[in-house]
Amino acid sequence: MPKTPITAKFIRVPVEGGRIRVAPAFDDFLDVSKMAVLELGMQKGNLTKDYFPAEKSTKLIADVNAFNDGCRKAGIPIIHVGYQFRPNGLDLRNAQYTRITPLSGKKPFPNPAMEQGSALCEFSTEVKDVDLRLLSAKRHNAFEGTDLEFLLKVLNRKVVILLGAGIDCLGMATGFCGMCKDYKTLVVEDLFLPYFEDLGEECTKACTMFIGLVVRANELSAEISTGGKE
Amino acid sequence: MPQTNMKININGQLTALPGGFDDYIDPTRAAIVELDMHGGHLDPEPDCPAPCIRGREIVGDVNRFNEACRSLGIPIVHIVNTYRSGDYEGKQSAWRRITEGHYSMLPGDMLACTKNFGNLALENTKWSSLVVENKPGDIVVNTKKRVTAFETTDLDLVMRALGKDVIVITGIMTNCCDLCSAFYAGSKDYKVIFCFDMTRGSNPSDEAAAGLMVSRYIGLNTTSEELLREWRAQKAAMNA
Repeated sequence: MPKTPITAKFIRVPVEGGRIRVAPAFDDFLDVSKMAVLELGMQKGNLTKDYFPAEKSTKLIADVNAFNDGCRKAGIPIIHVGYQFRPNGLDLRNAQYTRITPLSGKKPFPNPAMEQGSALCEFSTEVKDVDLRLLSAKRHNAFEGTDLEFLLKVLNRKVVILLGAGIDCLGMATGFCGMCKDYKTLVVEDLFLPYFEDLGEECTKACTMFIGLVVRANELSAEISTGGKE
Repeated sequence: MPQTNMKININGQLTALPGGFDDYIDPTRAAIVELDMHGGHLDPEPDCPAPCIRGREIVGDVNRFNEACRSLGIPIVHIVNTYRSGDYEGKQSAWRRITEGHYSMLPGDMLACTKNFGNLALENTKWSSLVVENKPGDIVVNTKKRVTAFETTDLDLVMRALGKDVIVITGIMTNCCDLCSAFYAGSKDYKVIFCFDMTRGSNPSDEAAAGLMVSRYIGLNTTSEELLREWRAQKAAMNA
């Protein structure tokens, strides 16, 4: 049973404050020993205005660092997921997002982009020695073409905590895939901004209905700091 | 090269398709991937396990659209959620866990809304039977267990066998299985066309949000009328 009054966003029927206590139906979602943080897209290339403009997420860096620190103390692995493309544009040759996203007025994702060795591939958040880097992501879905599922298996983790940059693309794609693989998913709504601001609320709503629990960083941190067990 | 002034939905507005998308609108590369038009969601009886009331509106339209596609030589792939027996295969699906979990904590008998979930998509029942027409030449992929059409299915293999790399998504639900499958397809480098009026979801607002996500990150969001008009014009030009 959770030890704290942790809540999750709930939109199906009106409830006071739009949130509902997580206990007792979701105890397995709060098993700290099964959790891993999937920090998505917090790389310099994603957060630099002149490159791919998700720079609004830079304001989350300190909060993500603090949240990750709390997780490390509880023994929760932090997996920093990011792009690192092969030289000369091969990896993006068939990618749709270099073509589709500019239709809606965003700056095109460049190609070639974030090549091996580039400082743009570095994470903007703190990466500690105990953390794990997963730099083989090439598409929105962090499971596609990567060893993320293998990594979670060897770590024996069944609960994924999603946060980072781009809840409306990286978050939705990875969240949907994770839930289809039966990972219990926690979406940290205040540590995950959208690229398109008008989609933020819509995404957390979709997450509450189909993907997992949409929680707040301070409440989840408090629960994690207790070890999550009575 | 487009043969019509085809329009797509960008930021909520129907807008002329820009140049550079000939590969998306080539009818020889396309397959229809129609999701979950089965009795488990669409049966009109009160014991329908997980009703999608809005989905019932489009059964006739989907049949007509599919027929038009067949006449153009475009294959129809029906994706059907199917569980072997009991509810163990579906019980841990996240949408079900969070729905049952949330309702269990609300006052009143909200959990009653979920009482038939265990019957959803049971094989050899009407809850996993197509309610749209399945004609000779159509392909049925009926091992879907979760909201995506790709996980636990051979859809990827079918698409390769057909030699198709454009996935036209129809069926239900716009903001769940359709959107999820679109994200999967996009990350697998399929060219995705979201045939918006041939889908239905929870409500118009959530459907629109899903369409917006597709148009911004995954593929082209358009209508059956725009798509068929363009495909027919291309076929006519090929045959001229």
